[in-house]
Amino acid sequence: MEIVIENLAHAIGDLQIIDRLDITIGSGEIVALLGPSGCGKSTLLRLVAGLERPTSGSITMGRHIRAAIVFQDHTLLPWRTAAGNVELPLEHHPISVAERRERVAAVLEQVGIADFADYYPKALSGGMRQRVNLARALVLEPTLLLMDEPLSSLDEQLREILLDDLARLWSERGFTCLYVTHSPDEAVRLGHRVMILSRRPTKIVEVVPIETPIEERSHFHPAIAAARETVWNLVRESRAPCHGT
Amino acid sequence: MKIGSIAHEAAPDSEAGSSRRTDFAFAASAPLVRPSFEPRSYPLVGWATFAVVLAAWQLVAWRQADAILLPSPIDVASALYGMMGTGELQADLGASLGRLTVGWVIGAGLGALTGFAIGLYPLARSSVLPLVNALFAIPKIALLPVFIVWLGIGELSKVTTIAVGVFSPMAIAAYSGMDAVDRNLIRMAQSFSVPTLAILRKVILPGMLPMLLTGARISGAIAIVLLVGAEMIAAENGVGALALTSGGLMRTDRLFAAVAILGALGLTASWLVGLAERALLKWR
Repeated sequence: MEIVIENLAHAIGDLQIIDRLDITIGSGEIVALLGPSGCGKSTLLRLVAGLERPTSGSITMGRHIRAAIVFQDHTLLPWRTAAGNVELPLEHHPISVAERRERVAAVLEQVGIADFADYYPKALSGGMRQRVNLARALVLEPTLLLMDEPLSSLDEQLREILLDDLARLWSERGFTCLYVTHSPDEAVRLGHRVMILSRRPTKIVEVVPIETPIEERSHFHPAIAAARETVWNLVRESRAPCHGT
Repeated sequence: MKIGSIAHEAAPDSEAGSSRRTDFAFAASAPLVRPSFEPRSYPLVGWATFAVVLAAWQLVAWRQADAILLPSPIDVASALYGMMGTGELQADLGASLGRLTVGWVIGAGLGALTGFAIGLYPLARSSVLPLVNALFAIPKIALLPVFIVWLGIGELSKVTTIAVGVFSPMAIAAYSGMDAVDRNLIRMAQSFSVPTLAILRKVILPGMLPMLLTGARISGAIAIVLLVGAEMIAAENGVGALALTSGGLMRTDRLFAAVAILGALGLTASWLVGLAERALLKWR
């Protein structure tokens, strides 16, 4: 098992954000965490990433895990080009400048924005910015990818394309992934398991496993359409009860 | 109908130029040229405006018989030329530039460092920030007599006045620039385990740079104002002293020449900041 989250609880002041959460994630598995914005999903990611310390409980990870976060949006440095942004995580690793450049070029190619390497974020569209974001996380060759609503600021067509790209990248690289989203559609497209989370304090309401291989999924795949319906119904039943913030 | 046609002419590049009928009601309710709110400018227009002002001044000076009250631009230019020949201009300008540069560099440097400290350390924010704000509100030229008593009538008191005047706006620019840096960018860098010092250098410093340059622009103007004040109160040379003595001697051509030099100083300072902005903020 890659990541074991046990009895995790987290509070900020008097506000209980997460309450007694248990999740086990296998190596190479994508777990989609579904719940509306602002109900503690992002906090959970930050805890897993080690950016914050939980109030109680434990997160155990395999020894050789390299984690990287893909943020929602607006986290590119505006004064750096696409390539410069992707280079940032590598700058504090003992590798030569030449190799750094090489790896940046390779990963930009892989996410399909090699032609825009020298553009500043201002000149890039939302979709391309998100690809840069993704490239920046991938350049470290992470074994664990933590994604915080990576597609929520994009329009539907772009989201569709990026979902396919993410599926392809996963099958090429086989990383473990915690995918936080408020979109049932994204959750059933990418998750081996979809965990439906409750209102704050965050608890797991239901887990929906999806057997269809990720590479075969599409918006109209019958099994995926069925899974989407199941997830939607569960969300509705639980009234996925937390309001966006 | 007249208004409608004017609206048409005023908007040759808008979509209304094609086939849409522009009647009176439409033109009155929705102007076709809308402000873009883009910080664009026409460089030539600046020079043209300058030329028009000069021409108007020359015209008024010709009509106005008394050259003492209003010397013409040509008089002023010849006064400038004459002072250049005797070396007075170079001496005064040199003295002023020296005070300005030393005072600004010291004040802006200390101000920026103080701003950094305020931005980084809550203790500094709690203790130093109220002082900075209090100091900001005091007219610095009122402190000149104090500095003269403490530091003597020489260069030190003038340079100190300028430095103190530049200090507060620069400190304020620095810490508010730091406050304005997007926290998400800092968190992002932390998530990639970028070391704290590198976060300062790669995220915070570039993020606060626009504000810092705005601070430089404003404090440059303040420095010139203080320079002139200080030189008028207590100096034998410098552009401010030149203006004051020329006024006292009714040599208005030289007085206007001094004022023109001050304007040129201000323009140069803002041009320098503009250069820095274009070089450092091309990503915007």
